[in-house]
Amino acid sequence: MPKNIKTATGKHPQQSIRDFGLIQHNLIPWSLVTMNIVLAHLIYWAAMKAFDLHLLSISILAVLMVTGIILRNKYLMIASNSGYWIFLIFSLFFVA
Amino acid sequence: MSAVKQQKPAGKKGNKQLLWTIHHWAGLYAGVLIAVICFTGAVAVFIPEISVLIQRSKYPVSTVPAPVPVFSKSLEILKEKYPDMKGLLITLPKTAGQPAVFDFSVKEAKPEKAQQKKSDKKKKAPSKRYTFFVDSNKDLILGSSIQQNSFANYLRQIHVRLYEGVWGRQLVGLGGIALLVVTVTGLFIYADFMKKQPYPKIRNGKGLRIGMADWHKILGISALTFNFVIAATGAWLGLQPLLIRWFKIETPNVFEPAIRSTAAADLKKTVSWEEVFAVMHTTFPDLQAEYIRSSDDGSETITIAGNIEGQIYERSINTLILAKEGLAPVFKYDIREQPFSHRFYFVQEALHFGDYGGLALKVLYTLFGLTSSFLSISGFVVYFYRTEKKMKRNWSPLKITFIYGVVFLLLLGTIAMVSTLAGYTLAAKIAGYVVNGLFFGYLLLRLARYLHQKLKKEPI
Repeated sequence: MPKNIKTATGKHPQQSIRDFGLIQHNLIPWSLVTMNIVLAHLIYWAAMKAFDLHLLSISILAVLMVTGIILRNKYLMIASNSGYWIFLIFSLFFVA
Repeated sequence: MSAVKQQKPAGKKGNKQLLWTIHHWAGLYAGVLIAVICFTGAVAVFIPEISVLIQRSKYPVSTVPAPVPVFSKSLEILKEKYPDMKGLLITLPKTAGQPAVFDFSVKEAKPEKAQQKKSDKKKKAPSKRYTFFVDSNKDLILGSSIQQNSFANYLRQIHVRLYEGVWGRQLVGLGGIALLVVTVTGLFIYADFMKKQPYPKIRNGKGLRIGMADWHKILGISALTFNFVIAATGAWLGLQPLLIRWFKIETPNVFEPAIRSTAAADLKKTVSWEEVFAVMHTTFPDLQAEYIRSSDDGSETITIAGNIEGQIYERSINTLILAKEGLAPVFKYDIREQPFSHRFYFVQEALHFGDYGGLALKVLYTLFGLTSSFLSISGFVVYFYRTEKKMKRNWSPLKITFIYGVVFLLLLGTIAMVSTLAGYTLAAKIAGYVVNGLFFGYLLLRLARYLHQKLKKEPI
């Protein structure tokens, strides 16, 4: 494939296909998997009426994750996913 | 089969095909079971709330709450009326306006020797269960009912064991394993099936098969973690009795106090309940008591079981056992102080029933549960459409799915009606015939079809 071909997004077609695969087949499913846990975690914390930094952090990460899925933005999804998993593991092993 | 054997795809593609085959067969053979379990489970998460609602409407209690529940007088009346009562369990009210529930059994008198059959002579005398509702603000007995025939019990039994007493629970456990298999395989084949289709696009106007397949993929991936959790915990809970027996797993919080006197003397021994609650508050301040059990086996103890706020564990696993004499603590089980293995053992039920985040989480569990049920139905619709030409069925795929759905809903409704109106025993008998009949009938049908096809291909 010639090197100078570009798609509407300004990327080479192969780069676009790779990005599509990464976002649609990896990042979105992984974000949805995490989102299930985030939702339950958020409701659990809200049910305890613990309106603190912990709840605020989960809410911010949840909003970032949903935005990432809607905009199909890989950076937002990677950041919010890794952020949440680090936060969850830290809470489970060092706080609980 | 054609003379030339088809070559199996190798490597990654072959693995994906194998995963799809597993997903297909697990869904096809256990889909109905998964749909029924998920549908009943979506309602079953509200069992405690439904019980409270029914109790509050049928047995209204005085609105002025007492500082601690009072029920000594009511208990004495019941003990006088049923001197042989066994296994008394007092469920304390959780919210204002709810009665306390006294649950116990009484051995029924054995029939005359002449009337007894030979086979009955070795059997123990049957017990009858009694449930009384007590206003624990005024210490007043409000009424009684047969708890086994309640709607809450129907929901519990149909979800936990399909109302089948012999191996219904294990069958539900196997359903959990099947759900686990379709969930995990579904994750791995998701990318191959989506191809160039972006999430969450539904291809409208391309027919019901394509539409249903799209909904199946989109909803399946959206509820994947939830399905994984309820499947894994459900499989454990369903197969728990067998696994405990096979692997000799001990229930973590079991404690058997020493026997001090005779059963009759123990039953007669009374305590001051106000003092019991006072000791509980000082010995185990965070315990929110749910149940109280007064011993009748000679151990002379009072067992208080309950929850600790904010903990994601099975209900009533925190325990405090006091001696009737002097109310000294004999045993204390605080889940927060237990090792990881205990916590892991007791987290399963709470995760399965969504019993840790109030009503909002239960609503979420219900929505996800209905989604899982829909996944089974959409899977069937896609399968029926895919095999429509090959199988040459008389009815359209949608019609078949609709009829199956209505038949199963009618069955669930009929068992509910029989259980609440005619009684648990009859409902369990009918459900036993239906569940076993359907299971073995289906197995026989598949076997007959297999043999028929085999004979057709290789005539003798």
